Amino acid sequence: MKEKYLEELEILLSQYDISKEEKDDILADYGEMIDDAISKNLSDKKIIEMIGSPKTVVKDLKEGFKEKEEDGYYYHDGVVTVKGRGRHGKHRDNRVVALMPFISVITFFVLGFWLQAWHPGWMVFLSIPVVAILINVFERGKSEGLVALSPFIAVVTYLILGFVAELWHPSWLIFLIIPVFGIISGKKKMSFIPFLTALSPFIAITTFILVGTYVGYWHIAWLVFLLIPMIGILNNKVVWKRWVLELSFVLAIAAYLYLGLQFDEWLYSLFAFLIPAGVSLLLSEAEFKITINQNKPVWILSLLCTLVYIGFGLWFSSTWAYLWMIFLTIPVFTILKYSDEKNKLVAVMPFISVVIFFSLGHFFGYWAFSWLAFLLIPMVAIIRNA
Amino acid sequence: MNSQFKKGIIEICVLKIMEDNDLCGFDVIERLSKEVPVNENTIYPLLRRLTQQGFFETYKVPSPVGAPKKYYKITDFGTERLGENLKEWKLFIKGVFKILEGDGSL
Repeated sequence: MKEKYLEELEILLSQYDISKEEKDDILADYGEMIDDAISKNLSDKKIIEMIGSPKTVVKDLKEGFKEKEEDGYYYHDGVVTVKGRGRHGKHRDNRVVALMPFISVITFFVLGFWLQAWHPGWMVFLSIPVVAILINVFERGKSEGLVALSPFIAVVTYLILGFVAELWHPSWLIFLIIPVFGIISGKKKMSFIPFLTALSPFIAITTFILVGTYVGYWHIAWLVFLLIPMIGILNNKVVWKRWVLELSFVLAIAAYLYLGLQFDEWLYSLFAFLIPAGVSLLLSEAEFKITINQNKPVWILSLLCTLVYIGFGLWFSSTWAYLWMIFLTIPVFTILKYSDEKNKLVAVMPFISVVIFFSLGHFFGYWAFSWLAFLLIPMVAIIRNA
Repeated sequence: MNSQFKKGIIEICVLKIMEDNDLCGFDVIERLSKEVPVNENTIYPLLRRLTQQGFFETYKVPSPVGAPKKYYKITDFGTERLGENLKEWKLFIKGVFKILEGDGSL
């Protein structure tokens, strides 16, 4: 219970502008309080009642940080320091954010009436949440700002590639930058192999789609998903086990390709994968241990999405064109799990808009006005900030 | 009860129970929650804030069973603050009782 509690608390604290010393201090304090509570034979439920769940703890601590940040004063170990631009700077910034809807409307009409660029001129409305993020989130750090901005970078890139180059597929892959940026921003806490393991599903999905789309080798390209367990194995602490398992995978891949390419027996060649399955069982590695606990749900979701996408694609063949939207559940899940309660709706709006935009266009042919769905993004941002 | 008002009272209580004893975080939560109906999980953040404001200082004591334990000790600044707060509180509560018990002069 203690490990899980502290792990969750650490993840939540990482989202705020707290020094490493302060974070470690808070974690040590909670670790100590849990030890004290356990030594008094309190149940897990009672302990949580007394010290609070990680979410409520961070909520209470966060209130303190927020107040200090607004005043431009930071307290640390009894020392008061003044940081940032203080009240006046903040007010000026807020004025810019408040003015953005008007600036966007004016720009939109100028582009429309003057240059007849109604489309893609409507994209100026996306500048409303982007400016708010640039002003408010980048103050907390470059990597956090980049994570917050990534949905908009993804949407704009997706639209540009779609409208200009007709690359709606596979440019949707750009949405995977959102969880990837999230993982990269948390890299400080990870060593290299867990970091690579966390990235492996996204590397695999991207490679699979690109190779499948442009080379057409879908049935061979799926092998790239084996990168995920093969990188996962590198987390195994026993070196010889690591090598034996890796070797079993290499042998299986070689056998699969040989049987498939030589005899065109792709189905039977799948039996080659009984080698790593058997070796894993023999070494009591029935499940590949992924040490990146905090990313495990994302990892599982990625795997499920891939299975559904490939399964439906192979079964119905017509679903390749639109079922890619299922991959949007990965960044949406990441956002819902890790972002502030207040910002969740604003943060997931780019994905809801993409689904509405693409569905109206693909299923009903309403491309001419389905882009209006993207106006939902600034609208929701304005309503939330009002 | 207004939460800001309650926070202020709890702050006085935390300062008071630490006046004569140095306590660790868990002991503060236990002591306070035994006497006052308080949301226990708000005590640590409060303790932390008061420490950061200089009302408490901390020191560690080696523990035979695990990591050293952190104890909170009230500072002179904290004692001074407690004195001021108590004075204000007593004056306030005196006025409240005067009204509630129906002082004839009102």
